[in-house]
Amino acid sequence: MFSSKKKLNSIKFQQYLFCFYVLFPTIVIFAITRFIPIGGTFYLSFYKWDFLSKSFIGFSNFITLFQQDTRFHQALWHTVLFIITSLPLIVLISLMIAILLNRKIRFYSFYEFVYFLPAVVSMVPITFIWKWIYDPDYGLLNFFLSLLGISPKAWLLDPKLALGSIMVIVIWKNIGYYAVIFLVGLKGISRQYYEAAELDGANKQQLFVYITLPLLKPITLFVIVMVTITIFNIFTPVYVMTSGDYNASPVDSVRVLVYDIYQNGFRYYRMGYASAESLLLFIIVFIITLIQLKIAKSE
Amino acid sequence: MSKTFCAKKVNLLVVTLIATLMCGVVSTSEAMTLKVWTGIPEMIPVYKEAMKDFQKTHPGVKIDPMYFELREMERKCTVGLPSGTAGDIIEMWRMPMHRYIEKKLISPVPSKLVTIIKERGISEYFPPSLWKGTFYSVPFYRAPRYMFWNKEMFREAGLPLRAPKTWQELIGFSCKLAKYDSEGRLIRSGISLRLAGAGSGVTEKWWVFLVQAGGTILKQLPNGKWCAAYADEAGYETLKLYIDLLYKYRVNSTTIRADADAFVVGKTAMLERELFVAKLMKQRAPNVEYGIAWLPRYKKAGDIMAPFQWYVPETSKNKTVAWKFVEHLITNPKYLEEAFLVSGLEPILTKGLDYRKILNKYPQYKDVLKFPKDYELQRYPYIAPVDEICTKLAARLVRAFRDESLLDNPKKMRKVLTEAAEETNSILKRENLYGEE
Repeated sequence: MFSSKKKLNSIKFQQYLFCFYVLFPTIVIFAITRFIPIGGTFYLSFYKWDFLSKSFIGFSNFITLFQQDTRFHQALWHTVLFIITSLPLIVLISLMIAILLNRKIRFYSFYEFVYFLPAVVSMVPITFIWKWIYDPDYGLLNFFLSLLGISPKAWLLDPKLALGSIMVIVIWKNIGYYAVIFLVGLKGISRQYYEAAELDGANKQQLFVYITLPLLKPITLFVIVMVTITIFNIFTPVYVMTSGDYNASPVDSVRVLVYDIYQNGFRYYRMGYASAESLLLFIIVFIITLIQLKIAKSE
Repeated sequence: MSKTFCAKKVNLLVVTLIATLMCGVVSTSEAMTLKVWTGIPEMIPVYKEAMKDFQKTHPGVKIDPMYFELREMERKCTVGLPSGTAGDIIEMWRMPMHRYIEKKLISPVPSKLVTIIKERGISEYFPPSLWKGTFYSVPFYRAPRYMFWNKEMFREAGLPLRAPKTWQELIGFSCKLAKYDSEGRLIRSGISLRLAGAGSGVTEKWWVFLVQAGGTILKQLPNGKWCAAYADEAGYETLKLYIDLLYKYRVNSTTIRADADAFVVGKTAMLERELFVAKLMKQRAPNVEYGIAWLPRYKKAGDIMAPFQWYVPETSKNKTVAWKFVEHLITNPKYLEEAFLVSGLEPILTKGLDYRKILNKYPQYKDVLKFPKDYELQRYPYIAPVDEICTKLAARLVRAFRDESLLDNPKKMRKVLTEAAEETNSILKRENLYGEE
């Protein structure tokens, strides 16, 4: 009995060893590209480093961030605003599109392709295209609005409109991708549930509320977590929209966290300070994701 | 006999080996590739052409010119210079390079080259090459701002065929040149001002007017410390000029097409910009009649200077040859002429330049050939946070330019400047550079 237990342990050990061997390259790559930089960021956040000289300054970077840096507060607020506005819109619109695509419609593949296309194209060309669309003089948006008798607006230049205009781009780019994710979830729901509910006399609304939504919960959670992370990391559209000398958004109106990190790190060479900001961003995203997972689990 | 033969053979082998090794040494000393980092893509063929001639005296030396967008190149220097992986020759302006000069990562210019620079150049543009009396870079091009003015629009407005010489004329001319549609919306600006953008460019353009109003951005105190200097009368008058042009005279707006692009497409009548606009006009609007003039004056005439220079990193393995190649570039005016012709880059080392070719291509340039005597040229302070100061001031200026309530409100305008100056001083304090007057 004792020897068979020993044999079992040996087999288990070999299985573990096999798993370790198989996973080792991935772990190494992950460590190099993820854990070490995160650790490095944590380490640097206690230093003043301009690429040329480095000195330990303790918690100074964090104290400045919380107590004095109004631009950081502004960036944090804009990012939160971005999430509050864009997250529900992305989830709702992409779910709606997925539901529409899930019906047996003509040209299904064409619509799927059209909605998914923005997700495939890189953010830089997309932002440039939108910059032209938003052009106050020659922009398509103002042209179409003028047909409705609406006076032209400086979408990117007006501090009150600039952040909203960038949000539209981010929403537009992401809905197609998440619609496809939702579509996969919808297709995974067995017809049997609907048929059973229909036999019990459930109407379409009830089918959606009591069958579709609960069974889509894991997918919805995944979408919410991913969209939250995506929005916290928004940088490219803000960078492109504030660049240039014409039709460029006022930076202070659209400043988001990653843009602020970029400016501090790569424009002002305040790498320690930018690391402190990055660490805070990491902590915020980590906590929000944990809360989202906890809520989903408790339900 | 066999012993002698054997010895001979050994000797021959040794001689061959030494000869081979020597050849190897000679060839490795000459076989090298000079990496040149440039921010102007049109300079690549110029460097390649110069290398062809250079190879006659330095066979085996090759060139690998690489173009990077300016900000990209600044970031590459940040990593490349401390790690010794930067280009052998870097085309850059002084401000981002200063910290590397201080850390001795930039090679001082050899004395022979210094003599050539002094013999051939415009001395007003030497200070950005110097640090504590030593040349750390070879001046390349100077990029001053000129007033570009559209002759056709001036004629149409019944104005004299010359650029404005004073701020008063600038305002008056702009009012006559601006055009509006039937609903009173501005469709052509009288003068295009830099009113938007995320970088320090907004501050830089505002600073030019500030110089003319008798002010500056940062002041160095006798103890070597610095403080913000623009929250004064000159700063107020400069901000007032912008606000007046925008909201009192309505000759410019934050939503109309701006900068060089506006001048090229006829959306503005006047523009203060570097000579690259002439190149753009040649390419995109060759039939438009325009003039180039020195900037208008107010209390002073002047500009800020940010000339570009050639730097050689201290860590470059090809340092000697790199300096020789720079010497080759500046002692053969044809390359500097070519740089001028292809990209509008005005050389600082002007001796020996044949201006006939240049004037043939850019006839408008004849009006700015002679450097004015009382023209004040301010330079960027050589302190690390200057870009941060200018970028953060730019963000505040952009906000101010959109605030119509500043019009005829000196108190509010001064408040804008005071708050901006407080931020500037807080940055200086953080870096232990701040001093009180």
